[in-house]
Amino acid sequence: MAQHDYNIDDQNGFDFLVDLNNALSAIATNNAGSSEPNTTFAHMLWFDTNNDLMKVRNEANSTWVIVAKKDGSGWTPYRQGTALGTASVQPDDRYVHRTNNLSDLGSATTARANLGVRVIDAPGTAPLFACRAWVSFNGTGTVAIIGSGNVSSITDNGVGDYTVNFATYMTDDDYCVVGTCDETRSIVASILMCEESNVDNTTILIKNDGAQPEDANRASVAIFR
Amino acid sequence: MLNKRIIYQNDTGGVAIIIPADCGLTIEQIADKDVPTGKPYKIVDAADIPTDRQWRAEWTVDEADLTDGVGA
Repeated sequence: MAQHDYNIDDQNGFDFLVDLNNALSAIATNNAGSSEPNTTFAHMLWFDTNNDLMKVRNEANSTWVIVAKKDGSGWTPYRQGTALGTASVQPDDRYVHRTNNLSDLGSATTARANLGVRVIDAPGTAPLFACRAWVSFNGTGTVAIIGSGNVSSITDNGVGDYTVNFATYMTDDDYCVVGTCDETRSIVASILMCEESNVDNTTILIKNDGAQPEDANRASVAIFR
Repeated sequence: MLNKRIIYQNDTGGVAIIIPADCGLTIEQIADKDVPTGKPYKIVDAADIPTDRQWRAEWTVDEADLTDGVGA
């Protein structure tokens, strides 16, 4: 700890050496002392050992501005005279909806889970294409939809003849229609075929192995694009 | 809504029956959207539709009864 007025007096050689070393010591210790230096300069540093505060002189050399506080073996930074705290003591209530920390971003699985992102875990580099609409329905008795996605309705046009109406339309009619159906009423073998494709709907036919329309107990259709 | 059906007359004089999906639209919105443009329709209970489909191709409907709206 040392302070100096940063004015080397006209003096003999030994006193000059002592004076110079005192000035260098003051620089090396950031003018540390329990009271402020007698002579101050703009932007001068002063470590206030009485309060463990690092201060800097303002540009007008009119006052001291606290920049940090020595806190044990660490430092607490200040901004505009107010302590900013440390990362270790910041309240976590702003992030209560997260159960993990930012450090978990290093784990793709944990990060996705924290963000609520669900992804398809598909191996390889081949591109993925999504199902844009699907429906499963029973075609006998009271025709009814069992489950669906992006389908507003199905139209029962007749025996084995159904139109799937999309809730949100496709961009074009180049999509792929995939379907299955279980055995028809009277014939074990059955086939589901696409009759017509439009941006707003697609019509499928279910036929038996005699190429005659048949209702299926259950039919499923998926649209890929 | 899922126990409702929308019926209209198809181009060959038969009956087309729309079965609504649980998609967030009302039965009226589905009718406006999925009934072909200009076709009058009627919203009926699903229980009113015959379950025996043996003669499905023979089902008919009087167009005068289709009074609930017209496909948009």
